[in-house]
Amino acid sequence: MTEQPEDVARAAADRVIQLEEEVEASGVAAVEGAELAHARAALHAWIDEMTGVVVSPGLGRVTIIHGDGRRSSIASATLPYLMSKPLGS
Amino acid sequence: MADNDTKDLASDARKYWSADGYTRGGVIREVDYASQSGGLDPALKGIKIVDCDTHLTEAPDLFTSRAAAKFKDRMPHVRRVNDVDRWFVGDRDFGSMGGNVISKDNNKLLGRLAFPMLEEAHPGGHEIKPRLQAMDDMGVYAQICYHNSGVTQAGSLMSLGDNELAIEIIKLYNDAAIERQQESGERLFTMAHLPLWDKVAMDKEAKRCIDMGLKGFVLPDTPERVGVPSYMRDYWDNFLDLCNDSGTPINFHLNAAMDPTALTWDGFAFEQTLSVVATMFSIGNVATLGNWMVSGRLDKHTKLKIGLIESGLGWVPFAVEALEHQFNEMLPSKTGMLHRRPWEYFRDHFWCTYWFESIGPKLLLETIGVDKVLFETDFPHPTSLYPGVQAHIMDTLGGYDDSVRKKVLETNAVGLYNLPF
Repeated sequence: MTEQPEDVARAAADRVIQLEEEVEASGVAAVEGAELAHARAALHAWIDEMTGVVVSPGLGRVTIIHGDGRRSSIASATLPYLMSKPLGS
Repeated sequence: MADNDTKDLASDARKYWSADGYTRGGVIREVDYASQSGGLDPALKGIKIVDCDTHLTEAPDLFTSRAAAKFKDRMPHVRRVNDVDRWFVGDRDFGSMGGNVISKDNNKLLGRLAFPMLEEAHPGGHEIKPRLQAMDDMGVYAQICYHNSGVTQAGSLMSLGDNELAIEIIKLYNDAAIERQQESGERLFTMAHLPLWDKVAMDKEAKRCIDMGLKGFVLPDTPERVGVPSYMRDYWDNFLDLCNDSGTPINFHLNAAMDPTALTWDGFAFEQTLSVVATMFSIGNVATLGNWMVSGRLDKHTKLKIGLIESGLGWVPFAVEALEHQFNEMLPSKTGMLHRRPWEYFRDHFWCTYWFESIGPKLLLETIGVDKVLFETDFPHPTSLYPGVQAHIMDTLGGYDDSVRKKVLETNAVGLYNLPF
């Protein structure tokens, strides 16, 4: 039987929380409904305020640069490719 | 966007890329080359020293000179941007040419990663004849060589959106490696790269590399970071079987397992950041060691040979002992899958290298295993053991008998890499 998307998301979120508990940190997961919608909206707003970005596909990383010069790093195996323009485009 | 904002952004981006390391500056250490070019110490007579971690700067025409006509215009090439030489593929900046802090007059640049322009650096960084002369001067017979730039990084090539070109770049890199190996008289052995993102192409290129005489591969510790399946997936079965059965080693060079950007304090100057990051890079090999030991892969590929390169060795007894403890405390459920203990995995599969250390080689060699340690200089990188190669060897191995010195300096490497001497 194919797993439902929310089940996959829940399993992934649980894995993150389990590993964080090893250092006595507690993550708060949102995988559906209003909580997920709120998280998505907040993330969009945060991204919209970025003033620069460094895309590093060789490292699987995107670095967001904020207006005050702070940097936030996103480790991702897919985002750098989505943000890279194909050669010659 | 206002000009000031643009400048600030560019400044932030440059810092992120550690581009400060390639800008002009730093401090020149004057080297009395006459005292450093006497070749092999007489006490080491009869030993062909194999330097197991060095770097060859990719020559500016490495790709364009070898490319077929249909690829020529798309091949990596070097441009000088703001007086710094950089690789480009099309208009995409592929980063610097890599570290080389030995100057053309044999002095050493401290506090930077490289001279900004290729012609300022020692030509042995990218040319065979002066490289061999530098090796003769240092008393080194052969070198295991790694890339210097990021031009063949899997993720960067994957982002081009041109798979045929990306695979061709890797193949040309390997073609250049075997040409260099032959032209050097079997003294420069470059570890091959692979198109990791394309299983069919990867398996085919791996076989081609072994068939044409290359002596090993260099891999990332966590390919999943750039979207390639993890070593836990059957994606890797054929390749690892090939390495296992052919006795071809896989190598994990320093920085294979660690994201350095979160390690140091905000507000550091470049030199402060790099001092901490470079130290942590070596210790990052613990992750590679642990990942392979707990994975079960070594129970499937029981003859797999793994080089931990630019690793250092002082941390090895602690790491293996820590993993022994973890096997007891955390992994009882895996005893059916993990048939050996960490010290057994280490001695059956791993080799580590040392260069600047004194305590490790003097006090820990027998604990780690005299068959498991290799020597390296990291020439011509910023942390390289230059000058003072022979003096350091004698300081660290002088207390051992000739058979131990020969193992660490020569025969361990000859066995690991199947070298022809």
